[in-house]
Amino acid sequence: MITGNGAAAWGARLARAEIIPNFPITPQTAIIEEIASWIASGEMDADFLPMESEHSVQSALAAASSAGTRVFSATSSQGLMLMTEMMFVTSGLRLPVILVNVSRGLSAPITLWSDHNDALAQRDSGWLQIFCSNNQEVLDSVVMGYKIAENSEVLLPVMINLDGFILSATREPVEIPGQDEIDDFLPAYNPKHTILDPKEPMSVGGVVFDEYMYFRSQQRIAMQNSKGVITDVCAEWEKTTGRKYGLVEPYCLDDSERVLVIAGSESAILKYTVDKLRADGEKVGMLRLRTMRPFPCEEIINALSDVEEIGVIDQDISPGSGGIIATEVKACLGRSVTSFIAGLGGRRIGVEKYEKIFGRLGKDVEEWIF
Amino acid sequence: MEDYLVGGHVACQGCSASLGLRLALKVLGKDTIVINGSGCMTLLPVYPTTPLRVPWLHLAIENTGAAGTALYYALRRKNIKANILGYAGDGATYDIGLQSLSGAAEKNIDMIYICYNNQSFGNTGHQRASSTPRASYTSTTPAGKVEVAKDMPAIMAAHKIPYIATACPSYPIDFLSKVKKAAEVAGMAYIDLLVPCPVGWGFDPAEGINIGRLAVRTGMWKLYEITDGRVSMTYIPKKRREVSEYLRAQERFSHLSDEDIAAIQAEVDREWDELEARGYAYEIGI
Amino acid sequence: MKIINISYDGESGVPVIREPASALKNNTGTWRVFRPTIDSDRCVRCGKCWVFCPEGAIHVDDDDIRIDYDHCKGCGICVNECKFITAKREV
Repeated sequence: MITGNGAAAWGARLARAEIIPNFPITPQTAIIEEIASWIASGEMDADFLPMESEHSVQSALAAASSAGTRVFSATSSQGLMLMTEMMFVTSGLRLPVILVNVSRGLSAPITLWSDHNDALAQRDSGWLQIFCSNNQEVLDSVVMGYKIAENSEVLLPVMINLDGFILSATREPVEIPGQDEIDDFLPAYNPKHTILDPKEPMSVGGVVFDEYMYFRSQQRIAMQNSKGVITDVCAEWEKTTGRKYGLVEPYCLDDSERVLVIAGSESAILKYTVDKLRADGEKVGMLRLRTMRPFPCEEIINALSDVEEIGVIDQDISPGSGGIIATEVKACLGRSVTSFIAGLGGRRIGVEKYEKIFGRLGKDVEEWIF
Repeated sequence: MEDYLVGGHVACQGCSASLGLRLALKVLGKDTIVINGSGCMTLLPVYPTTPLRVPWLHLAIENTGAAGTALYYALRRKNIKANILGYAGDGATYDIGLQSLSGAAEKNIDMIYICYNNQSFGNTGHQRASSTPRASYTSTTPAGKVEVAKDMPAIMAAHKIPYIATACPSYPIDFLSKVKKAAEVAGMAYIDLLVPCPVGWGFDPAEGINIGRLAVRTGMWKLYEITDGRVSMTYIPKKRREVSEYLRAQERFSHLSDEDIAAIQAEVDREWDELEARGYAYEIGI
Repeated sequence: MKIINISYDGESGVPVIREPASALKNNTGTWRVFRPTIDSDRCVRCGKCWVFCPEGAIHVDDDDIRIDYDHCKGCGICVNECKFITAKREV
């Protein structure tokens, strides 16, 4: 039984991350504390770099990754926003950095509790984004993240998101794979595309003129490639551990008339609600988006094309536009959805409200669920 | 001795900053990795060519210290033995880069940090920075800067790093012997390198080395070392030249009246009198 | 949605410059207004010009010290520092 933070730390340990720049922030701090204690006891062979800010953390991640080492760190909300400049640099330099984000609502007003605005604010950064629904998935996604990121068809950084407090501080049963198993699954990192070695001097981060657009096109395609790579890596993971993941997680969609789209750990409560309503004969279902980047458009179309009424739960808001996920789902499907804004700043949603939401589909509106 | 920074790049004619890097790399050799903070020197590698014969990493303006920290540990893991040279401008060091430099200094990372100091945010057109001397014109202090410049070597000394120095490429032997010491010391070394900027300071590029000499000979740029907290001068001008020789040679001080210059002369004289009273050497003891 | 007109170039599509000293291909000698010349008869090989050239465009060989005119930007520092180097307007 370990917490989401513990699962994230285990992912880094099993993946043999070598350099861990870090900075504390609620609700992520336990991840770096766990790693620090393992390094101190010799259970983990890595360099622990306590940096002076999250911006420096991401800078250190980028520098160490440019030098060809495997890196890891974790952050949340304010810290993630502070490192935003460097998020784009890491991705633009095509560095396979793994960052765990323990989601937390953004100041102001300042809060400690979870929503998805922090992670989604990085959606243009060129990072892959995986939203986890339980602690097992956190551990699994961190390890798989390295294999996906380091693939030569991808070479992009990966952010693994887990909901603050709900997952990060809650104990769940997690199967921790053996180190040997993971060593077989994930070989050592030996990059050729970017190294810092006097024997092969490269200039990394030079100025470009018109070529900028070309390099951005490469990021774009790499992100497209990642869809296939994610699927392949998940298939390999299923062989290794028996656990199955994809770009989305459909639940009771076969004959659903009404479906709610959601991301993160709230999906567990929503599944429970679906079961409850199904027991009463309601034809409802859920589609959980696991990867927000690359946005699983094809998978959404395949899953929802026959569904009559679709609602999207956004634990985020883009003022002036609307729920971020609803906007993207709408654009993808080319039809209207009912957008529900709920759970901002960790505000409790709960089964009753989900039941109510299922009854309020069908209108082209944005409804705030308090 | 081979050059590890060659020509063909777009630095200005007579750029002392590129001269500083060229000279430092001669001493440090091919087993050096340069980390650059955004500024004039960032434009050395322009896709698809680079004038460097050593590895170069540029991430952003404010994180040279953080990058150096991570690189130190990464090279250790990779079993690569190389000098880590941070080469960033004064804007990227005194101001926006101070946080990450402080972090690296506190960790006493084994790297050499050379701040190439043209006393402004040069690459963006010479705006004031906290390194800009009092009374200097910059595009954001058109009437002359009011505040005095930060004492960066003292700030670095407060971090208790083993070696700090000031230098100028116009005194190459002094500069390069300091680079050598910086490379040999175990822990962090910081060198504040005055690089006169023809475009920003307003003088004929041909005068570049001469302006640096005047800065030192008038006593307006002191050449010294701080070794384990002990300050010692590496050059004491026997008879200091009048500051007006230095100030009047640059457009950035052209708005100064004779009274202004006299005031600056008095400041400089006072500083050097105090130095002399201390025997030109003292503990910076914090 | 299909993406057209671009394709993946793998590791060579990463923004890294791999050829060291490739900037030598750029002729910055075109920047010059005044061209410096070393009077090799009177040159004492002190090396001052070589030290102070910001471009590294002055080379010390066994026989003489010469200026690489493809990379000399004509800043005039060497002319200023040595009385045996003179500048003439570039034609």
